[in-house]
Amino acid sequence: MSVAETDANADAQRPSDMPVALAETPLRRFLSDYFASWIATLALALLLLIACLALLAPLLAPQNPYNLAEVDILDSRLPPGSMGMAGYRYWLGTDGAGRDLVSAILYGLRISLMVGAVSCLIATVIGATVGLTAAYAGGRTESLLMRLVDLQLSLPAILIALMLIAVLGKGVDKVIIALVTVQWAYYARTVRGTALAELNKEYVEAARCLGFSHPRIMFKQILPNCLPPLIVVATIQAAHAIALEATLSFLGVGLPRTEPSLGLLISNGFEYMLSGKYWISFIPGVVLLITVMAINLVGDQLRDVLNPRLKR
Amino acid sequence: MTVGTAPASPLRPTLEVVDLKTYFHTRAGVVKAVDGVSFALAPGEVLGLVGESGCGKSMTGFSIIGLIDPPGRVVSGAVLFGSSNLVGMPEEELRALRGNRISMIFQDPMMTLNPVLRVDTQMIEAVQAHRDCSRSAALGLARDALAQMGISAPEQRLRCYPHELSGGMRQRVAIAIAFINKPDLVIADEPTTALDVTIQAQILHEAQELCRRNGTAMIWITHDLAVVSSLADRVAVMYAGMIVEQGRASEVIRAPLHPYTKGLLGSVPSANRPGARLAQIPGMMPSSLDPAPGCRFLGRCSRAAAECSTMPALTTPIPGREVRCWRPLTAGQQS
Repeated sequence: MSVAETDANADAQRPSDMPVALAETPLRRFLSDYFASWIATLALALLLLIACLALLAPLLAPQNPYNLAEVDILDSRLPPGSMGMAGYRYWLGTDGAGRDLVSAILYGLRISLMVGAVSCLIATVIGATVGLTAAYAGGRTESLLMRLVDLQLSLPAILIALMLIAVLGKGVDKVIIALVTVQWAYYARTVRGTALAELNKEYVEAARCLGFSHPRIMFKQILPNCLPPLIVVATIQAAHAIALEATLSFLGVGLPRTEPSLGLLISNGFEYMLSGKYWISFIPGVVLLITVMAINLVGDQLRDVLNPRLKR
Repeated sequence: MTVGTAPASPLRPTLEVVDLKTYFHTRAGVVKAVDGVSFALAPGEVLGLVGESGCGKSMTGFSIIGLIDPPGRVVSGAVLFGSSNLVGMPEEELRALRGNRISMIFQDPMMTLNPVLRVDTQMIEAVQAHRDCSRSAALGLARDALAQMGISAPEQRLRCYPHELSGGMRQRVAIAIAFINKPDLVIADEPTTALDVTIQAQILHEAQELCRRNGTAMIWITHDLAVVSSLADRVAVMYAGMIVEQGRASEVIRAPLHPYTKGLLGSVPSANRPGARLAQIPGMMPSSLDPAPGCRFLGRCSRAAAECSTMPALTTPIPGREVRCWRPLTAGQQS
């Protein structure tokens, strides 16, 4: 045993001067991997810019498009760059009601992003819980929950959303409910798949041997290991949610006309498309495109960085 | 050095396993993974459970802690721990014992630590799962537990993720977690198999110290007789789901009674016969699937006789020694 004791002493002295790998935290490695691609960096910067614009819309917008007193009907359908009656220039033109498009887009972004983010968050929570429960419980519970997911995914998203809105009525909250209903199943399926793989790992067995309760094992041990794919799906689904909300608004069943989102702006200008007043639909459409594309690019890069199989 | 330091159990045993049987009901038939295992453990005592792969030693450990997954089931027997029988105990009560009064250490420390949680998070979890305790108090316990396992700079180690630690360090963390709630019983399932010999020696020493100090009984499951000789007070040799020999570690290793124990000892590479062909036990361990009624070692035993086709009972030829053999080795045949 004396050999072991001297070894133990040697071991006790060595690690104190051995640099602990603090510089290489998972977060730092993740960040350096992420910013390795300039497209992804650009997309993230663009996304942050869009988010800031949306958040600060009341400060940045030259006019409050919801305040009818500020909107002049005589300024309607002015092309980009025209001077308005109120004495400022409409850089992106005006829509059919005389609203400044810059202001309308900023306020529209605000609603589109908010609806996308909130519905994505709620759907993530519901989907992750269902998926984790299905994987952990197994047996009949799993079959029941996953058949429900299959059923949900076999119906066209837009159809379910339309039906729900028809039943629930219009409004921001109703749209969010519809989006969550359409999307939770994607998260459930993703999390279940990952959790099933994690369940076979020994740390779960070890957690059981430590007498952890089932919720503790599920949410504190397994869920953190399921986060990488969940984050990727959440990003892509947030983009889908924004696009779907725009579709619903375009169809006239989404948000009320008093709170125009990007989809509603596109729909507002649709009737003027063929009379040459393209900007009313076109510019909000481009903004929607850029927003969804930026989110998707960020999501793609997250998927590449978080997927251990694609490690360079 | 291990002999004589074990407390001479004035108290009742920490653990008493009585005729434990764990069977797996598969489509191919019944696999008798653990078939009538009995032993007792005094507080602070270390039992080495030895045997080759697939002999049921790990299954014995999992049966005690009540974590046999279907199609496996503990079909009969009792596991007396304190004043209660763990066999048939409600899951909630068992869960309260696990990690608190009974804990387990596994072979591969990379796999048993959660890869995405820091060491401190995992240790605090282990404490808070079993008692109401503030984060800072739990962190203090974690720091002490790491220091006891001979980890220097525990503060720094606590902030590490498992992948930032070496294999030996990770296993020390896993053992520290197992001991953090001062359990009465620790089941260690080949915890040093994946480590190199010097680290293994240190970890054995530290685990032994912890057991002595806290009065923790320990079952050390291993296939390595060298480990048993330096660590265990008593040893139980398992073969095909049954204990074939049991006794004080030093005595069993010096003078084995069962031909299988002798075969195991003979197949340890020895430094004083370099270049010599390694002795091995001919044949393979029989499948535990519907075993034949006779002695399980029959097919590989050089001493087999007619009576060996019926199962021998566990006998006590010498006080403190048990052997399951019709024709145990006598003094002249033991080396």
